[in-house]
Amino acid sequence: MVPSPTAIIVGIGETEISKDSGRSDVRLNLEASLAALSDGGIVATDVDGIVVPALVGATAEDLMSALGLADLAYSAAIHMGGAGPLAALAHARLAVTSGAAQNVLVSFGQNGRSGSQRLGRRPPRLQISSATTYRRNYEAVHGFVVPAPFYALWAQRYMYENGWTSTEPLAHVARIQSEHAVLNGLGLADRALTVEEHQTSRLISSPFRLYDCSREADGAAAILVRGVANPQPGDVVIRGIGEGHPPQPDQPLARRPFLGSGMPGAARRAFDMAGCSPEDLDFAELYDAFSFNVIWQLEQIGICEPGAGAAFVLDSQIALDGKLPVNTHGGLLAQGHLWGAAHITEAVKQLRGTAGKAQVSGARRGLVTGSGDFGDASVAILEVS
Amino acid sequence: MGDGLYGRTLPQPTELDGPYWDGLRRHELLIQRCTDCQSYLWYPTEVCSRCQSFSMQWTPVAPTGEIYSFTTQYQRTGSKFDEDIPYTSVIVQLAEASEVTMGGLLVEADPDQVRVGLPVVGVFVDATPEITLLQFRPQT
Repeated sequence: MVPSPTAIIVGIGETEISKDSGRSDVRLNLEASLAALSDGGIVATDVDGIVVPALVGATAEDLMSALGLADLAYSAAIHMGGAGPLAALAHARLAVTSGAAQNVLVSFGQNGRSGSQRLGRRPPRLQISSATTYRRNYEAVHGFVVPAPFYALWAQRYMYENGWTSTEPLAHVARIQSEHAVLNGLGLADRALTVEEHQTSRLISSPFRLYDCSREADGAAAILVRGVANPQPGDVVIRGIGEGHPPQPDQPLARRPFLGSGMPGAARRAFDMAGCSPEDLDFAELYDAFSFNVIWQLEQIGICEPGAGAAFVLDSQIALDGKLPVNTHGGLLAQGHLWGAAHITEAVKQLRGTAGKAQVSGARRGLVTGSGDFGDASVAILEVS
Repeated sequence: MGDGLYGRTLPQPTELDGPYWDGLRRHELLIQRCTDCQSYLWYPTEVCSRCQSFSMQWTPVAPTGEIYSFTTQYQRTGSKFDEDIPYTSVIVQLAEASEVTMGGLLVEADPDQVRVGLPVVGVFVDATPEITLLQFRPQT
C-alpha cells in the first residue's frame, strides 16, 4: 500500500493591508493567489483544487475563470465565519492527502474596510437558513446587530466568573500586539499603544473599548497546499489540524454552557494529530477579533489553566521575548482583519525564518487558530520538516 | 411589514415562532417545553435538543430572572438603535426556566448600576399593533 502524501504549505501570497485598496475583492484574491503560486513554484494551471474559506471575497468560479483553470478536480466552500481560512486549510490537507488533488489553493481577500460588508456596521448579511430568523427575531430586535456586543457578553460573563476587577489584562493584549505590528510593519497600526491609551480609549460595547476591537481592513492572503511523498528539510508541514463547533452553534444568546466554544475540541484534535502538546509550541497566532479572545483561547487550547490567562498576559508572556509569543504580526487587532488568513501566512513566515523584525528565533513549531460564526473554531499545528 | 413608529428593528415571525409572538402580543411569555423530558428550549426549535422528541408545548413562563451577562453599546453601527446610544442589552436567565437564557433590551436602568445577577422583570412593549417586544427593567 502506498502511504498517503503529507500536506505541506509550499506557497504564500499577500497583498498590502490598507483601509482602501482601490481594487475589487476578486482582484485582491487574484494578486495574493498568483503570489502564492509563484512562491510555490507553479503556474496557475497546475492548481487542481480550490477551497473557498468564506462567503465573502472570491468564489471558486471567480478564481477558475480568471486563472483559466479548465480541469479543477476538487472544490469546497466553508461556512464557519472567521474560522473559515484555517478550516479551509484542513480541507486542502484532506484533498491532497487523499489524492483528490495535488495543488490546492486557499485564498481570502476582501475590502473589509472600504467595501459594503464591514463587520462593525450593519449589514453584513452572511446568513442562510434558520440563522436569518435567529439574527433578526431573537438578537437584532434587542440591539445585537454587529459582532462586538456578542463577544462583549462572553467577555463580561468570563470577567464575572473569574473575578476580574478591571480590563487591564485586555489592555496588555492590545499593547503587546501593537508592538508586534510595528515590528511587522505590514499592517494598519503605525505605533505602539500604551496601557493607559487603551484604558482611556472610548467605549464601543462595554467592556470593550476601541483598542479591544480588531481593525477592519482591505487586503488578501493566499496559501498553496501540496501533497508530497517525502517532505524535505525546510518544508512547512501541516502536522495537526482540527475543527470544532460549540453547542447550539447558531444560538449564541441561549448557548449552554454560555461560554461553550468549538475551540477546545479543535485544539484537542489538532494536538492529537500532531502528537505534541502546548508546551511544545514556539509561537501561536490566535484569532483575535477582540482582545478578550486571546486570553480566552490561551485557556481553551491548554496553554494556560482555566482562569490563568490574564496573569500570563499581564506578565507579558505573549510578547516576542515571552514564554509563548502570540500574534507576532499584530493580529487582527493591530495588523488588520483578514479573517485570520494572515495568521496562517505569518506562521509560515515564522517557520521559514522570514518574519523580519518580529521573527521568533529558532521557531520550529507554531499553532494557528481560527474562530468565527459565534464559536466555530479551527486549530492547526505547523512545523518545519 | 414596515418598522413603523417604533423605529427600531422588528421581528419577522415565522411559522415556528409564531406562538411566541402571539403570546407577547397578549403580554405573556411562552417558551417551548418538551412534554417528554420537561426541558425548556430556546431559541424556538423543531425538535427537543435534549431528547429528540417532537412533542413540545408552548408554555407560559414568568418574564422574570437575573442578568446573566450584559453589554452597553456606545458605538454607532448604522442600525436603527443608534439614536438610543448608550443602550444596554442583556442576557436574562429565567427564574422559572433556569436552563433558558434569552436576550433583551434593559430599560429604566443606569448603565453604571447594571451587574451580573441583577434581578429583572419583563416589560411588554407594544411596538406596533401586531408586534410586542419583551424588554427588561431592574426589579424594584
